[in-house]
Amino acid sequence: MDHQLFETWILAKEPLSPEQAKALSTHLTDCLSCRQFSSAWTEVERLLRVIPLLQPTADFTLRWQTRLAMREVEERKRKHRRQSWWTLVISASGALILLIILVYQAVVSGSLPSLLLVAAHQLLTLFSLAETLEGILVTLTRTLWSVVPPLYMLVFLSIVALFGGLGIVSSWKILLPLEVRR
Amino acid sequence: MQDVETPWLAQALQGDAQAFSQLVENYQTPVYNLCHRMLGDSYEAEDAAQETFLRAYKGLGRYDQTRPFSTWLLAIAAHHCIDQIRRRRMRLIPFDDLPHEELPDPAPRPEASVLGREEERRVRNLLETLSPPDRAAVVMLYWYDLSYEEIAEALNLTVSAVKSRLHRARREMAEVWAKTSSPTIVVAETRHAERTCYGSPAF
Repeated sequence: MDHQLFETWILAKEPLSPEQAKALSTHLTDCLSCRQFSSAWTEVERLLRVIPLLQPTADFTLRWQTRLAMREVEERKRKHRRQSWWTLVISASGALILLIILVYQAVVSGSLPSLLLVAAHQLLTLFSLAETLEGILVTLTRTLWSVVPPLYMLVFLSIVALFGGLGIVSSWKILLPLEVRR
Repeated sequence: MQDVETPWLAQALQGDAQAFSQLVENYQTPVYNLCHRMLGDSYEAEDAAQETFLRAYKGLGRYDQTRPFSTWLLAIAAHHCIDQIRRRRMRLIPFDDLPHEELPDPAPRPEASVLGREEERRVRNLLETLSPPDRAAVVMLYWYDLSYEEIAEALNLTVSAVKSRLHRARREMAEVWAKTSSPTIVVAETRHAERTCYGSPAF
């Protein structure tokens, strides 16, 4: 007896022909396992059709909007990081290429040792200049501290800090693209 | 539904997030239900449903307007859930360790509520015996009344593959039911009005 055929008929979504329905009915009267299978499938199908749709908890759309906003902020940050990384890579590559060209030219012209000496001299000059500047600033600060009253000094420092802050904010607004800042 | 959603869809396609929010409001239940039936857990279902709408919003440019929006959305949800189930298997977390939510109580009578939970549990157990694509096909057929062609399109399968998968799924569920059903468990036959016969209650 071909149980598989009857199983297919039991599970069929499309309606059976009158002959098939009669053959199935006769078979189910005689075959206990197919009868149990048919009964089980009838129950399963009934259950699948009556079970209700599950609802999400309240404010699902609000949570989605929040998630969308957070995702967009993350994407902007990622884009900014990528932009910064590319800027760094391009700048470093440019500097490296420039250095290679300079070194190559110095080697070709045979002036590398003298160039190194000049560079070392320039560096030492820069250090001594920084030292001189530091001395001037220290003297100026001590003189001002002894001459200017503390209140005026405080006002002066506040104005300097304010302008410094404004300068930083302006640079940030000018340098960063609008869509990254938003 | 199609008429109502058309202007929102048109505006969303222009990049209007507020119009897309209307679509989220409209389709939250079918998408959440599919995710819940697929994943069997309310927290994961919420996350998957939210992710589905995000993916749909980001990929709206790829939406073919000749197809129903609901089918496209359900396809995204089904694929995401299938991926989640596969990842979950890779993480090797025993199912018993996963949190099981307390199902909401839709019925006012305590005995009806108990029966409802029992039915939900049995349906969840039945669906868990199926492979993720088979589960998706069953949910799409029985909850959303999608045609074989629509299911095939949504799951990237051929129509014959869908028929074969559904046949196998029905057989597996019937066998599991026959093995596990106990005569002491009475399933209320008249408590629920049958969902609109073969019509989709979701849309």
